[in-house]
Amino acid sequence: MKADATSIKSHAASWIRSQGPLITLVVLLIFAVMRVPGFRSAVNITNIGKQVSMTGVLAIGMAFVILSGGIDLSVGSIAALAALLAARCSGEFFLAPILIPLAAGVTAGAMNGVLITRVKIPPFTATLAMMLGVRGLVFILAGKTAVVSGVSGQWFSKIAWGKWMGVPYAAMIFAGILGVAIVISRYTGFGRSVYAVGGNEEAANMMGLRVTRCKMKVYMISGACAAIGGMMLASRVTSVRPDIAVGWELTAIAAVVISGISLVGGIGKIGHVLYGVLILGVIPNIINRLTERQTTYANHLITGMLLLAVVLIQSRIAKKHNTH
Amino acid sequence: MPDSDTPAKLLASANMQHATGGMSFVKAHSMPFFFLALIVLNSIFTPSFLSIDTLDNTLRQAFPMMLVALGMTMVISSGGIDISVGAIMAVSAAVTARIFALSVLATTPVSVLLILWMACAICCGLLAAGVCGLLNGMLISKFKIQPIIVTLIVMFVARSVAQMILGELPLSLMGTRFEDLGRLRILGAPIQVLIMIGAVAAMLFIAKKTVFARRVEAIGENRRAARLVGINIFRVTVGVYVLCAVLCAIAGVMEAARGGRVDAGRLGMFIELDAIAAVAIGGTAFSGGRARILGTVFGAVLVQLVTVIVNMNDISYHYSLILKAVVLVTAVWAQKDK
Repeated sequence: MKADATSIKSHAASWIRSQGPLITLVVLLIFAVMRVPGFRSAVNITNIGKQVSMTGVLAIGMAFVILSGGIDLSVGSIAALAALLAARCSGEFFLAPILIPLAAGVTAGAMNGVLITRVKIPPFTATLAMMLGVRGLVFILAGKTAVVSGVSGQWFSKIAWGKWMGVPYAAMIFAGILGVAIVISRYTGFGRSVYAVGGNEEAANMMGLRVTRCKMKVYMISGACAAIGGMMLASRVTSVRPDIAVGWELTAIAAVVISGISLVGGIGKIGHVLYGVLILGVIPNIINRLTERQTTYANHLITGMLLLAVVLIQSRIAKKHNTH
Repeated sequence: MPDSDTPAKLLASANMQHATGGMSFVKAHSMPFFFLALIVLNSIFTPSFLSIDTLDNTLRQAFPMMLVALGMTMVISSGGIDISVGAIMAVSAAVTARIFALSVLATTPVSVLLILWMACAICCGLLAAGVCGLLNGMLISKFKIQPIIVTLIVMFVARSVAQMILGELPLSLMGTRFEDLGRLRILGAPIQVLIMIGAVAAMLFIAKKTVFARRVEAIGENRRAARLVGINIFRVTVGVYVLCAVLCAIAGVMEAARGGRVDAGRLGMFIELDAIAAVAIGGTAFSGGRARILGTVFGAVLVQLVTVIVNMNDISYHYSLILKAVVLVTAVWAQKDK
């Protein structure tokens, strides 16, 4: 009996330690609901949903990459490329603004994969090169004027602005992709091989897993997710500038790491990305509502501090969990 | 531990390094060839490429990125990454410029008092950078947070602090003695070039001759093993990030002096990308390990050459991004272990 009680206790403790991101998010939400004026309003919640779903989709792709032991710095540039192509194609035939950017994203992801698996360049360097290269391509495609006609008023803009029963389409897309990603990571051979490759690449290779193919798929998924994020952005704004989505890769990486997925690879759960994404989305919202003056400097400072607090709390919660 | 080594042992280990280094000589030197090819091609195609002015300009423009890349090499050698470098440049430049501009001395002719005041201002800038580096190193080693997240947070905080120090508008240093510092020449050589040579020499000394660099490498190669042999991971990690931050601060202050103004929102923006590219081209492994200082120097000059060539041939900036990507991939591919 006594042994049972302690084992239940230790189970509960280890469960709590593995739920650091969720606990942090709940604490943050409780604080926001109690203390932040206007946070609870439906408009605000919808806004947060719209904002986080773009970088959220990127973070899902990034989670696969990081779980496989890699990193993808090119997602911001790929999102910009997709946004540009979506805006350009919005007047063309039906589905063109979806299919063409998606194809571009998958191609860019495949190029990442080829550089990493065939040319054998480390992921950090390869995707850094792609980040620079694709951004250059975006600038060139945008041309001299650097602004491309927008997509407002067409069906395409409904992706960002439309809603069904109060839930924005963008949030539904994010939730849907997250659901698919969870299923893939848990119940498919590919999902398990991502964990195996991230955990120990050599062992995975010796077990007969197709490491190269797995990595190719992972980077193509990341490229596709970046493209979807870019499309959502294109449908949200009225004009696409070539310096759009700069720094999104850092937001995505931060969301993934905050959700408890280790950059070493093979450790973490895709579903937890939701918490990381929401934490990163709620913090600036809280700050914007609390500070009267809209000076971005102070906001950045407070965002940094809050983020630091979140990460510190999590490292405390997870400390014993990791050493086990 | 290397510090208990006898001279004979050290000599033996140095010889061994040479022996194993010989194998990788050709591979390691594919980059200088690449570099030479770039120079030869451009001396043919780019007008007035081979002039003293071009060299002078290239070196002066390469200066901030070179210093940042040197610091980044050590950070990457320890298995970390520092994306706060640009923000640290901005905060140190902001602190230095703000303090320097406080005094009426700023526009007076050169005097001992002025030099002292300038040194005092620069020291404050270095101190601010040191605090950022300390924060980076402490959070990474004590609280075990991933370097990319820690330095991302510090990037946010440092840049917003820099902007809060300077306010909305860029601070102009036009007409102050500070601007002269950026134009200073000693025996005909720009001060930037002299500092650069000094920094490269110092970093080469640190990387080749000191126990510190070995400890950094040990942490980068195998953190657990490093801890087990008694290396103080906290102290070494903090040391690495402070060293990197101080180099960034020198770069930031000199960049402010060269431009004659400090724009806290733009100074050092995206320099981390160029610096990381330079380190990657230089052959230091991102998983941690030996710091290749000379490789980084080549990498930094190469990345800067791309920018200069693009500027001189009147090609638009966008193509320079693609060219950089190609150079990065080719250089890393050329020297990878086959």
